Amino acid sequence: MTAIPHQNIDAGSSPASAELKSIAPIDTATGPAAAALTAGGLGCAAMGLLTTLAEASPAFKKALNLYDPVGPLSGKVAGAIIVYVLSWIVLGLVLRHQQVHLIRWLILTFILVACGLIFTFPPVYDLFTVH
Amino acid sequence: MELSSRELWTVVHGMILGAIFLLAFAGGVAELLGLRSSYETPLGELKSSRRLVEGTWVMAVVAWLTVITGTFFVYPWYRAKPVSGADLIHYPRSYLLANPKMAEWHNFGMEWKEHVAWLAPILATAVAYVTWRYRNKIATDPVLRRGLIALFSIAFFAAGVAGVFGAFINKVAATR
Repeated sequence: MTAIPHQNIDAGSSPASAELKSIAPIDTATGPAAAALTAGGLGCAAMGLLTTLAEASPAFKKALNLYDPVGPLSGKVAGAIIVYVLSWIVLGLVLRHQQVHLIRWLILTFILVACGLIFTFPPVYDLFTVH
Repeated sequence: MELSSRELWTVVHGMILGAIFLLAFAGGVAELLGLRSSYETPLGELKSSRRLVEGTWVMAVVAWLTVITGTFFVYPWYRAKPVSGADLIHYPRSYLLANPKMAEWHNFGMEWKEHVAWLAPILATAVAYVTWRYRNKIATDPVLRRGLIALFSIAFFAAGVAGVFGAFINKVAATR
């Protein structure tokens, strides 16, 4: 582990150098970052999926009505948050000490976020609406 | 100078929390763009990363508060079903849908807003956590920094859609 990114720091006794000494070591394992970001993507994708499925199935839409004043949105929100939290826990445990190719996990995250954005867009999910 | 409790919650949701979110985004993205080891001294990097961690966590917490107050406090008043013979102006969703020229404010605007808004706190939390955990790495890792900036911007876009439609819909059919 590297202590700080700059090797030419004068570790004197000034307040500035005292602050620099307080810098935490760099976390080299990129797994936790991949887990957190991918879980965010999965939460977004879940919101999109639940929104579109609710349009495609009136029975499913009714089942999502967990809290009457809010309607089916309550179930979509609960589902998305559950997916987000659970996937963060699972991925976090699996990847906690791993050094991963962050770019690959970022691409996966962007694909999942794009799914979330596309399937929460009314003209898209209206294509699946059962009248 | 009076506000009903509904108007007060609408102000808290849209103007106070929404405005803090937008301000926190502006500060956060500026810090992320400038946080490079080639731009700053080590001490400058340290100060910037601390501001960045604070700003992103403020943004994440405020995003959660905004969507929770919007969904569970304001939205039920918006979608309440009118009793027979009631003046629809007090029931925004029904009022909009009863007017063909205004129905799209609900069918497109509100439908998009109520769903896409929830992407903002999820992404803001992911960004805040990674910013905190890798605060000493962001300045030297361009892939991580660019990824965070992009996700941060998507969170802002989602919140922006929700904020803009919220403001317009409240103008056309106010929640009182």
